[in-house]
Amino acid sequence: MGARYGDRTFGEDGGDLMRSNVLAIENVTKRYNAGVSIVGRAGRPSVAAVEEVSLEIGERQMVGLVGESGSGKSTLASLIVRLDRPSVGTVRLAGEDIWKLRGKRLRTFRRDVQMVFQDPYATLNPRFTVRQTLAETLAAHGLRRRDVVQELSERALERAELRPAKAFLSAHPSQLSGGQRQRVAIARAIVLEPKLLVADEPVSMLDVSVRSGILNLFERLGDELGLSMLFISHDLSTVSHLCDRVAVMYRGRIVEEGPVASVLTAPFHPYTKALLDAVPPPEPGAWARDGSLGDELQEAQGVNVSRIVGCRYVDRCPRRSEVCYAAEPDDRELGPQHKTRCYHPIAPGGVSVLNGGAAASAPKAYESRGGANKDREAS
Amino acid sequence: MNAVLDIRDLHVQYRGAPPVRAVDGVDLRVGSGETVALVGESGCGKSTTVRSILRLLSPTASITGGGVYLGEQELTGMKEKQLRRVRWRDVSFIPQQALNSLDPVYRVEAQIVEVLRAHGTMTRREARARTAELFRLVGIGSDRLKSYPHELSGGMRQRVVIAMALALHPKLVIADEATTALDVITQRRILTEVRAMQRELGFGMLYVSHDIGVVAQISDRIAVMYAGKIVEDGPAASVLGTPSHPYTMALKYACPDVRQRRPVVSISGYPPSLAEPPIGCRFANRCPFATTKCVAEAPPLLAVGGDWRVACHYTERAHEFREQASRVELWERDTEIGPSVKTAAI
Repeated sequence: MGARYGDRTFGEDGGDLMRSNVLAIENVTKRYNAGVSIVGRAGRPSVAAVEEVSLEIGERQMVGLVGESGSGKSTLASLIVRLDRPSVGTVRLAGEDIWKLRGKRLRTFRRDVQMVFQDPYATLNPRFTVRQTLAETLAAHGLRRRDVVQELSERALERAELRPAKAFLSAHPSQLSGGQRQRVAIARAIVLEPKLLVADEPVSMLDVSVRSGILNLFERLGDELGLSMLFISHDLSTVSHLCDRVAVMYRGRIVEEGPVASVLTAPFHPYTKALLDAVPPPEPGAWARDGSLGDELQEAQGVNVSRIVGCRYVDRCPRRSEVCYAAEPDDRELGPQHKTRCYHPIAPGGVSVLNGGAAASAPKAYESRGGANKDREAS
Repeated sequence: MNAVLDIRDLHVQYRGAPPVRAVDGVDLRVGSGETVALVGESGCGKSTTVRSILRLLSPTASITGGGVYLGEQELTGMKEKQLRRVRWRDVSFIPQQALNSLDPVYRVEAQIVEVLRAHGTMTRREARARTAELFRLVGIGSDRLKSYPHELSGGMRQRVVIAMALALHPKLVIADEATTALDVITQRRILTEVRAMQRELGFGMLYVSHDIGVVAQISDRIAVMYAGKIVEDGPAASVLGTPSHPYTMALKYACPDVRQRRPVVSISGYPPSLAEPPIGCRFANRCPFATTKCVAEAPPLLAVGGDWRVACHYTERAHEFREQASRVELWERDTEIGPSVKTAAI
């Protein structure tokens, strides 16, 4: 594992304080206006796409954000990269409120936080060569000297495993496969040597054989460049493969958050457990042996989340009781760095995702992982 | 087991100079009550294969050889008018995007009633009763019968399409990535329901997917397709348990498992151009075990046991290959710039 990559070849860092948290999302709510009411704009109802969300990403940490479509994952991403402003709450990068940044500090922010999107066919300008794509990004930060652009571009492509880099520089996106395009998008995101990468479903459009290569690349980049990363996905398997921590979102709230090993082997929240149980295992016939899903899940239908008083999961939850309808449960830390919002959490060591004997041995599979937590403890 | 569907030596080409041979000699059988999964990466010809069955191909594609037999009927030579009777009644198709296959201006009940009445002799009242029964079967409340498609969630709409697909008791259901767009919980419920209905009604199912986990859970048999050809075809437990084609091995080890963290392999390179396919094995340029024989000579699809066929010159060394196949480095090499692979579907 390499040391923190520190030899920035350009610019000044604007006070690169060593902080344990690269990103801190503090009690953030984002409301969008929805529909038109008879009294016009003033009376329009609003929908909270993200509500009272707090999340921290430490240095060199990879945090996964999972949830079904519409749960607010992408809204949260746009709040982090400053594409959208929170209605309530603060997003801090290295301790600073990103909406209070001005001038040089704002430019530094724009270099420090980069994003990778889902569709590698839509994120690259088809008329630009790879060289132009990278040069455009560099030029936006004042880097226009030919030799500098060439060197940084080649280095970024090498890191994205597009080798030989020189050959790829003159290619157009139409000459590249989906996986190679996504690597160009990743090269563009890392060419400015950011601190935080926000990747929104970066592998969901790729074939399995290519997908694993991109996952391995993210893992290597995390190690080599000391990147922190928010990895958004609806697929628990990819998140479990890559991340140190995972946050589970449901209808705008984070309902469970903690180390991957404990969230995935002993989930507290019934929704997390339902998600895990629904992931098809690769061994043929496992579902046929288990029978059908144990809990009675009711499909949510057009429920306006802002009208729910109690727990958002109450209409689908097999563990619900009176109290769940009355008020939203608070965040409670029930395990080491492992929080959940639930009145009736699943007891640790109780019913778990893993069937039978596998449950006892499963956490060991995660122990070998030399992740960000270890690094943080060591530093 | 008598076959509901028997595809024999199917060839499909897309117009071009030279033409693109998207499906190049595919044999595939689906028995009644059996689920066969067709897996492979984008552009391998799996969607083209299943779309050829009902001739739902794009205008640039044409079937240039082979036959598709539905029981005794041969479909590729059938007139469009005859084929229209086969669709829905004998063979139904569940596409990936349910929203696109429902009419936005009609209530969902009306759309199923229309299918029932167009193909049968049912009265309106009978058709309505049957629709309510189908909704129960796929787990939708009868209060949803009068909904318009936009009032339903993605999972609900997908279930409406599944109900429609089962409305006329077809012998064969074809599903092309039918649950890929759904969240995992909905996916599991729908797949569980479909399997239960299959046990009850006994239809054969051809399920196209790239999700190995889903395939492992629902299929009796798995056919793996690569660059226009079937490379391995056999019982699900054999194909995923002890894969015998190197490509199947790579697919198996490419999928991360939420229950166990282990390295995942990625296959460097890309499939050959199907406009000018290589004379040898089509996987040879990406296969870590390839020899000069593989480059020179295409391996035929031969039985390695009972109902299990593999197209590889070295099936007797499969055991040895499998031991190495989970190593990530084995499949890695520097990529080259090459033609992008585009999906031919639709």
